[in-house]
Amino acid sequence: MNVDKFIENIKNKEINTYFQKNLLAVNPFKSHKIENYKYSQLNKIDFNKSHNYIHELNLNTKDNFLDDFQKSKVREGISSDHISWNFNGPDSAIRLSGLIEDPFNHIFNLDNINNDICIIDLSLYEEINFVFNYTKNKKISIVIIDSNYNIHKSPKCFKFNVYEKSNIEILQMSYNKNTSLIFYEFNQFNSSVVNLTVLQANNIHLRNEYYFNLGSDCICKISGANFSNLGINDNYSFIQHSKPNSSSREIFKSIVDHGAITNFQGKIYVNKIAQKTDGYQMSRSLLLDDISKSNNKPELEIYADDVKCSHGSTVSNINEDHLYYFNSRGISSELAAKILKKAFIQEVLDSIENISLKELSDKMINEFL
Amino acid sequence: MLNINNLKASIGDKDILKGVSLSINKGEVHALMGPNGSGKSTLAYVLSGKDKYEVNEGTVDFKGKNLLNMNVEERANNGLFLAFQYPMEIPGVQTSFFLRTAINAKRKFNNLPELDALEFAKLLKLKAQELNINSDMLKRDLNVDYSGGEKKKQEILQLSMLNPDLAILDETDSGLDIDALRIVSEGVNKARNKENSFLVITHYQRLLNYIKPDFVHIIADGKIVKSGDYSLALELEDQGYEKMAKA
Ligand SMILES: Nc1ncnc2c1ncn2[C@@H]1O[C@H](COP(=O)(O)OP(=O)(O)OP(=O)(O)O)[C@@H](O)[C@H]1O
Ligand SMILES: [Mg+2]
Repeated sequence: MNVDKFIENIKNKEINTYFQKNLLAVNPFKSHKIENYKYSQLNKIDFNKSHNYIHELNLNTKDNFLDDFQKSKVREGISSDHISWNFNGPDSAIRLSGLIEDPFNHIFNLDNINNDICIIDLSLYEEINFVFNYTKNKKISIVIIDSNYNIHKSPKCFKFNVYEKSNIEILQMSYNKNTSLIFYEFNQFNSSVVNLTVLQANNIHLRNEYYFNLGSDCICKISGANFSNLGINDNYSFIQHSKPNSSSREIFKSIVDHGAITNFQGKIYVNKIAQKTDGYQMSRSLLLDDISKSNNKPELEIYADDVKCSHGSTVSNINEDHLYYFNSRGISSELAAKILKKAFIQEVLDSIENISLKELSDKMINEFL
Repeated sequence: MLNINNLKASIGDKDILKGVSLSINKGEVHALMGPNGSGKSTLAYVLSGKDKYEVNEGTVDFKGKNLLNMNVEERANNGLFLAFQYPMEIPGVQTSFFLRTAINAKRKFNNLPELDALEFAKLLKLKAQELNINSDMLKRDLNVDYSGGEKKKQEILQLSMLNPDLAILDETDSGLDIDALRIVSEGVNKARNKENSFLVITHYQRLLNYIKPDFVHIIADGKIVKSGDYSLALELEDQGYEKMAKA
């Protein structure tokens, strides 16, 4: 271990101890079925500004996830050191600023965008609520960038109305050392497709929530990769199959190091009339040391009788035998670990369809591995 | 090339190697035969440096250096190669990428420039063709869902790409069909030259018809009990271990 790494370890450990002492809920997993997350306690963060916001969550969750936020404030950014790589996006990529139709409600009509890729850099917006409507059949790709530049003290709420037969791909990239709070609500109308990929790296305190409401014959894909070496990262997903014949597939992978904590809670909820639902959910965590933690809680709540749903969850370390195989071919443990970490999340990277987005995410991952 | 002297090794508190001595010179092929559980794979692992084994006694000299002082990757980069009896499956890592990483690690160790994508692709194509491995397979994840025989072939492909000074083949022949056995043996024979050496672990004399050994050793209960030339393998085939051990 070199000196820099050693110092970094100590530094991280201090911060992690702080987080564990102050933020981690005493009993993060309640037993009741309708529970929502309670992993980290937002009201314990040193917030200094309060925000009120409206949210039109129309799912049947009794324990509204907004409560926490209405009570709490958002803190100042800890640091804003810039991590940068060059994204040579295709000419067709545009930034969303300037497309705001209504500065108060921030409703965007994605139909008006002629480009294949649309970039939303969260550092550019003070706004909290965004509503996106999309009705076209043509696939559109959206990149949401949540970088260290995003020092706004507000959570971001995205509502996507994905209308009949339309097809949307979203890539979220979070590498934000400030508190990062992002909430999604997807209303998928019949026969629509949403492919959401989330890459999160070295966020100190992150909470992302994904709410999906699926009509009939929809396809919903969520693929997430989280690298944590600091603090607490929470991901929560709730996929409601409201109507028949839809499929949802969610994979979530965490790589946890230096005593950080990651939490994943995901629920597939199948309405009584949502027959022929095909739901799959898998969360896997790779712990790189013995002080790091990962809590995974997959849940199924099914009221229809003709459905196919499965879920699973694993937590493991880097496989010693795999490392040995690499070593026996002259490859150093350091390089091998890097390759194995990449391999661990490869499935997530593979879910990205757009080639430029693939390249972009590859760059991001290589930066953080 | 390799000089093993009174090597004793254990796992946990179980002694497995109980004083192995073996000398392999440049350009020689040695066969190691012995009943199940006699310590053949253990010897191979210990030589490769796998850390779950404890070396309790003895010395191993490899090309004039103390092998036991090196870690696994140093041994490999110094020219030791072990073709595994049970090659590992590594999901998420493409076979060709793994090969390229391995070759470049070795080149870097030897202060050679890395192979670029094109040079590597050329070399890989050539070597894969020699072993009758089709290129689609190299795009798949390393050994994942390969058949038993395909895995063994893949190990030999690595061998021929990495060009080691000493290659240990641990039951490479088991799992291979008749044609594959011939092809793999040809591959090994092609890699054979005056400068390198092989230690071939096998249960079957048939492999030794293809890869002619200069010496044959029989190991039983962690010790080499008999050494001879090729005829020892024939004798063994004829009489079995039990009779041989009594003789
Ligand atoms: N992890 C372990 N714990 C305990 N005993 C072990 C362990 N690994 C190997 N052994 C024992 O060591 C002995 C030698 O095993 P080894 O694999 O070297 O045999 P082998 O000669 O290669 O046999 P085979 O011909 O079946 O491949 C066996 O008795 C085996 O059970
Ligand atoms: Mg064996």
